[in-house]
Amino acid sequence: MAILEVKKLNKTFPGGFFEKPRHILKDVTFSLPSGETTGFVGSNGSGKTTSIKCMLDFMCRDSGEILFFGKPLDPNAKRRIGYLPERPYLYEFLSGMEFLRLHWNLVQDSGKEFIGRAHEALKRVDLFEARDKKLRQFSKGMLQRVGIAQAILNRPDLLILDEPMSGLDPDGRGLVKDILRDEAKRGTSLFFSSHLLQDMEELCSHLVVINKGIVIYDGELTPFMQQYTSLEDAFRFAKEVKEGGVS
Amino acid sequence: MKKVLVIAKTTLQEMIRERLFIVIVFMAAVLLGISLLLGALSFSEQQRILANLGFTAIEVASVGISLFAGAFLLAKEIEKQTLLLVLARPISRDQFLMGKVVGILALNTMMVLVLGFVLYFLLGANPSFSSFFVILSSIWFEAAIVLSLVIFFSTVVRPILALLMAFGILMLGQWIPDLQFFAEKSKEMLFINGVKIVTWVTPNLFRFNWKSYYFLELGFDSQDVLWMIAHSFGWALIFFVFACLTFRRKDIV
Repeated sequence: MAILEVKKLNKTFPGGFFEKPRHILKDVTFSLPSGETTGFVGSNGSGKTTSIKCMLDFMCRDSGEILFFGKPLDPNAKRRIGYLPERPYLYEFLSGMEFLRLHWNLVQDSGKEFIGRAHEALKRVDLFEARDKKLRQFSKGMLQRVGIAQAILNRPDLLILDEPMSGLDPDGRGLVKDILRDEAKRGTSLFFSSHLLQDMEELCSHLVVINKGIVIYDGELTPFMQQYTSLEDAFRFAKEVKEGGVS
Repeated sequence: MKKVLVIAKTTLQEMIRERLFIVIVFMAAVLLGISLLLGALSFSEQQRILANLGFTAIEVASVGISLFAGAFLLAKEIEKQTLLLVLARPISRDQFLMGKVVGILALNTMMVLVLGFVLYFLLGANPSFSSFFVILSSIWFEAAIVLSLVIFFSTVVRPILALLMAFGILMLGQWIPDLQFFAEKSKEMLFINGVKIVTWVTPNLFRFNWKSYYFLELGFDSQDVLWMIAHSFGWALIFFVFACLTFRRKDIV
């Protein structure tokens, strides 16, 4: 069963006075198998972030249908989703614990389990010691990690992460990868975007490739990889086929 | 409702910790101090000067908080994209906006009460408490209308422009009787009709501009107070509904 289905999603940005409207997403269609890790890969400006923003209703779509757990996005579905944006600008005036409490209170009706779950999430991202520091004192890597902590705090069924490893040092990247692997083991369906193909090869079982707003591949990673020596080759080839450069 | 309160609490924390509140309260306290000094210059008019300037200081602080917080807090959330994480949670955009308004109004309430308390005792606790409270309420309601208005504008245009537009409407609302007077005198149909349109689309803030010693002594008719409450609530609601309608369709790019 697909945990997320995106059907014929279109999005156009209005142009300026002398510019034409820009058609950013063109009939984007893909689905996420439940319990798997799906990579969403494409070069910069290919429409990954816009797709995610349309999926989560941060942007109004021109047309198309998006189903989470078989239904359009509603508060019940949102309770089951964890999300981390591309650049996690967080409320810097809050401490780590206050930030997690805010996100707990927006999802849960009772505060009973909060302390235990917050400590668990902070330990997993290696920020337990910094839990009472204000977020404005955090480094970029720490902000990314506390962002991941809020995403996993409510034990979501689906984690949507937009470029979760961008701008992190090797240690930070390793830590994030470990967290994603742990979440996958727990049975969480993962959907994360990246333009770094190595991450996809390491973590994903399923792949969605997007180029210039068009999905050029949606399926398992293995058959895709069998045809090519590396994901880079496959990605380049698939792009060329779609653009009509290779017969 | 719980989610609205969660956002309101965070908004309140933000304004207190980001020190916007402290700066504005400091300015109001300075104005109160100046009014006390000016009042001391004239023994017979001391109470009058202190009351008039004191109420003005509270109004400047209260409307100032509404204008600046309303214009910049939401814009900052959109620009820095901090609201993405919040809107990914089971909370609607209307609830988010309502939380922002409640948070800013909570701060305004605290500030009006604290400064009002100080002014009341500077006036020697002599004035009628009910009249004093009605005047403070009129300031609070004016700030509530301005807040809804500036939040509506900030969902449509950039924050500086939203602030200027809301300030313009605030001034128009205060000048309605003057505009009507000049329109009648001019006998120009264009001017008269223009002023009529302005009176329809602008809250009449002049009618509850009671920030003077005169009203403190005179007291209030309950009908006027009820009119103020209904008028303010109606306009604040209209602007808030417009804000929700535009914010629902806004792309968080």
